[in-house]
Amino acid sequence: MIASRRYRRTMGGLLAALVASFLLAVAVGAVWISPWSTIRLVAWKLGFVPRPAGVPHSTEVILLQLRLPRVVLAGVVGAALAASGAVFQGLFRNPLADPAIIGVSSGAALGAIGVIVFAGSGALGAFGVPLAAFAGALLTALLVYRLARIGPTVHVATLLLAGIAVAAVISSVMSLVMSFSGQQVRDIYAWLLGGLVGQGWRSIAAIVPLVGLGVGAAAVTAHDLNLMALGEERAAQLGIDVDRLKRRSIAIGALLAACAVSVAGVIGFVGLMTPHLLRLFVGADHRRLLPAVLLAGPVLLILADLVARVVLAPQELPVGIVTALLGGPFFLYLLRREGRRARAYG
Amino acid sequence: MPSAFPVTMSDDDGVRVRIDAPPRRIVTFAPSATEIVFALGIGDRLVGVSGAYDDYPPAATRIPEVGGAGDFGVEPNVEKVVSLRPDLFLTIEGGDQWKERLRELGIPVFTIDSVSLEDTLHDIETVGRLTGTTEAAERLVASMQTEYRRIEAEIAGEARVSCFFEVFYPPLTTVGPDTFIADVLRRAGCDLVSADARSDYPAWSVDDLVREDPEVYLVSSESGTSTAAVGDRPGFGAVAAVSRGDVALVDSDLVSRPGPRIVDGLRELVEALHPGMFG
Amino acid sequence: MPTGEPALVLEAVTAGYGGPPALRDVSLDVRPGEVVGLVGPNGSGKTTLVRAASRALRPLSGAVLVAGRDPYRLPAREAARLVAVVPQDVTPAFSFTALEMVLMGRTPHLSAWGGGGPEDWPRVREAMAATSVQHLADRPVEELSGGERRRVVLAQALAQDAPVLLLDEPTAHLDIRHVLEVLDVVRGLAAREGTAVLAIFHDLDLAAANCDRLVALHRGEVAAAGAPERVVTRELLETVYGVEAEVVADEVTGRPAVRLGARPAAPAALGRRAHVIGGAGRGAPLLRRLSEAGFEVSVGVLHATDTDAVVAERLNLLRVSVPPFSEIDGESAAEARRLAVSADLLVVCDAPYGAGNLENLRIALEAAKGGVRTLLLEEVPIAERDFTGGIATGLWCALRERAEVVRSYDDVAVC
Repeated sequence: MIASRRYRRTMGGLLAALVASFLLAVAVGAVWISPWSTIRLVAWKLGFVPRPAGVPHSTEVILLQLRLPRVVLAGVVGAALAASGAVFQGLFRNPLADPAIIGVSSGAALGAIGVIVFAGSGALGAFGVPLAAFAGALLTALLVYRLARIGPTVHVATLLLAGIAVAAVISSVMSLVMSFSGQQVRDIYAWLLGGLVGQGWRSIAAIVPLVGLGVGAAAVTAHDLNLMALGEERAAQLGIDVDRLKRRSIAIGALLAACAVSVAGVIGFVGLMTPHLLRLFVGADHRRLLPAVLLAGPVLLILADLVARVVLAPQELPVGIVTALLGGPFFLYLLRREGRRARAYG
Repeated sequence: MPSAFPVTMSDDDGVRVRIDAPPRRIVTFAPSATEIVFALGIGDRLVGVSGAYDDYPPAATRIPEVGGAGDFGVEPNVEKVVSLRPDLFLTIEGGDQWKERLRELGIPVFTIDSVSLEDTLHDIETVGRLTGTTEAAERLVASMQTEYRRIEAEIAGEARVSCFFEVFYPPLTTVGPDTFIADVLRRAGCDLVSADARSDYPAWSVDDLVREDPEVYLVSSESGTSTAAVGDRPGFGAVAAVSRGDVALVDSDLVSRPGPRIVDGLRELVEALHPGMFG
Repeated sequence: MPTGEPALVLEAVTAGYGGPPALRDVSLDVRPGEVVGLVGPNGSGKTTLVRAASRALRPLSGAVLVAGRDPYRLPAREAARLVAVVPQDVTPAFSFTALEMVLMGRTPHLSAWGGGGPEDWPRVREAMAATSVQHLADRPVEELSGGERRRVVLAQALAQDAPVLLLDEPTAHLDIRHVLEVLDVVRGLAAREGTAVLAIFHDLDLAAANCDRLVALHRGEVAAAGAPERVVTRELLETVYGVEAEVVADEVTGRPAVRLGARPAAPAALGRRAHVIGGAGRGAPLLRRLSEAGFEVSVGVLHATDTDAVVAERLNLLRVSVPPFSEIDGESAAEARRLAVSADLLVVCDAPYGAGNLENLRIALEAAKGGVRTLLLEEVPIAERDFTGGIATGLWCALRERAEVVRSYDDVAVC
């Protein structure tokens, strides 16, 4: 790995952006909570200082029970989505792969809904929904990969078509599952519409170890993923066990997407945009790309959620609408460019 | 029974509807309409209702259902409706396309759309005229008005109460100022936190709820939660009403159906908003 | 000089892709320090052999041994430490720099967690120096020319540091300076490090001049094997390539060299003549077709050992050729220009265009401007076979405006 000065600068900038967006998102809302109050309250909560005087109880609750968990969750989900996108793009050798676009997020959602309907949202403690989401995401990823691959390559068109087709089937199955549900339908809607709302520290504690696992596995796979870009045969010639790498990457991408979906529902485009933009700054090497998207994904989703909260305040928009408004045009731009590239190369 | 048939009236969609003779086969496509028809004493003329939500009076549950069609299951099954050969199809706003389809098939469709409690009283009289039960309607409206005036007098001296009305969580969802339920809440003495909302069922920031700190927290029974569960949600402990236990579960069938029981709903809201009043 | 036990052994290998085997009962071995050339016409099984030897295509029967071990029984990583492959081309899906590409060659030596060792950097530097690509280190590979990219891929394989090196046409699309450089590198590797090299060659003279031994494949079987002078013979050229030619000893190296004689053109049935601008074997399939369609066919300018030249020779066609690796001289250019502008039909093939044959495109453009009906064959886009830094592309685009573009040989309407 070459830690060039440019790379260190980029990472420094991303870190600064993460800290700034975090402080901003924590500060802005129905009441303004200054970063200084935030720091003092957190320090108090961690037992370093006595409770700061003059901070109303409501501010304390808003910060510690609402804003902080929400912003932290947005950060974790953003990181998981961006890392998932990076892994899927590397695996598919295609910059248009995104867990939502290729249907993996829908698969995770189906898994989550299935477990809510047939076992209840509290199944297996906090882990039932993430694990079921993982199972759904994994099966979908395998299916889409099978469908999208023609010969040695995954073409943009087949990838998108396979994703759309699989997502359409999944959405029908979802409606079917929901029509079987009685009382749970409310839980399902709460899960589908909830987004980042109403998730306390408990859901964060449930997914952080899983996201950590996925990120760790992605980190040790990052080097080999580079070689996938050369094509499967070349990767094999250079000593990669391609089949194992593919299985592993699908599992990692699905796990990360499932973590995100299980707590925040389907949020598109973060996994598409983040790796793509960051490649322009840090290059294609996944060992440098991965740390960069782990910083940039949170920035993107934290800011998107901030926009969702303030634009119609005190009304709230689903954060997925904001990411889609940002990501949709970006996706179309990429699609056009890929199309031109495909024509140029026959 | 004074009969003025044929009756020609404009409905709340602005459509002129002509009814030649007192309807004998009525289909209602809204629980409130079903309740009105029963309250006018002609429940035996109902040949179809919308679905499982038509649950009052209990006799309504034995009438064939015509709903559940369309992409979201919120449209009537047109074939089913036609097979019932109704001479009046009573419904609420929305669904212009299937309404047009039913009209083309010769079924008189009449729309009532209540935006306020007074509107509901007017709608009951309208249904009375349409079905030739004008007298029953006048008696019903008169008794509802009496009860309404009594409640109004009772709370005349009470201070208005700031309140929040939850219909779903998560995301925390409330009602906008132009909804029927918002009108009933205002009459019950509530100043809605969401009075400035720009849509009818907006998702609401819990931050803002904590800051506004309403005196009473009302939960519609359709939200499917319990008053205890509300306190366990992240951040809700900081809402004084919630930590005090001033959380009231209100029967959404009573408070949000613009039908004959709406004054009962109003009384339930008044009791929830002014708990000290009835001692 | 080659010594010791063979580093690469193929024993009675039969391999294929489901249909009739592309390789039948082939045995060969390469000892450490030896450079063995694999020759034979298109479709004779050369690439299949390299794939079978590189663990990419498991033989249907027979055995492959690399450094005494069966690569198909080894994990991919271990096998890649024993055998390195230089494919014809590698186009990464994402933008990697040349240095990153060469570093990837160290993959088989990395620990399971992707960590590198102290060996990596010197090895990578050596490989890049050997292939003269150090100055390209920070350039994204997709910005490099075809020749530069091939050298980067060669460096990638060298960095792999394996005792066996397999090359699939290491010199195709390179200009003469880099051809010699690459061959020097490969021979130096064999001499200094004792690497066993097996390389596919299209050009018989080049193979004969640079290899210790040659193996000629014909229809999936070994047609001849041994010292170059025992393989490159009149008989082999006739039976394997189907051409009549003289084989003489090169004045300097003493290695065999192919000399194609000139013959009179066949009479034309239609009284119409088609001129074909080919190269790299891209014109060969057309020559017979056009002849059979009754055209008098002329070709040129070609390098004398090009497959197209060999086929033209075999078909007794009128042709203009220059020695391999030389640029087109004025006299040949004038001759070809005369043939092109006076032809009834001009077919320009999608050959790679470099400094050596760029003049052909100028000739074509002149003829097209002069009103000769011109067909442009475009199975391979010009971007992939422009080795002139854009000049060929410019000429090609100008030609496109005056010519009919055809996508495959089948689309060449000859009536």
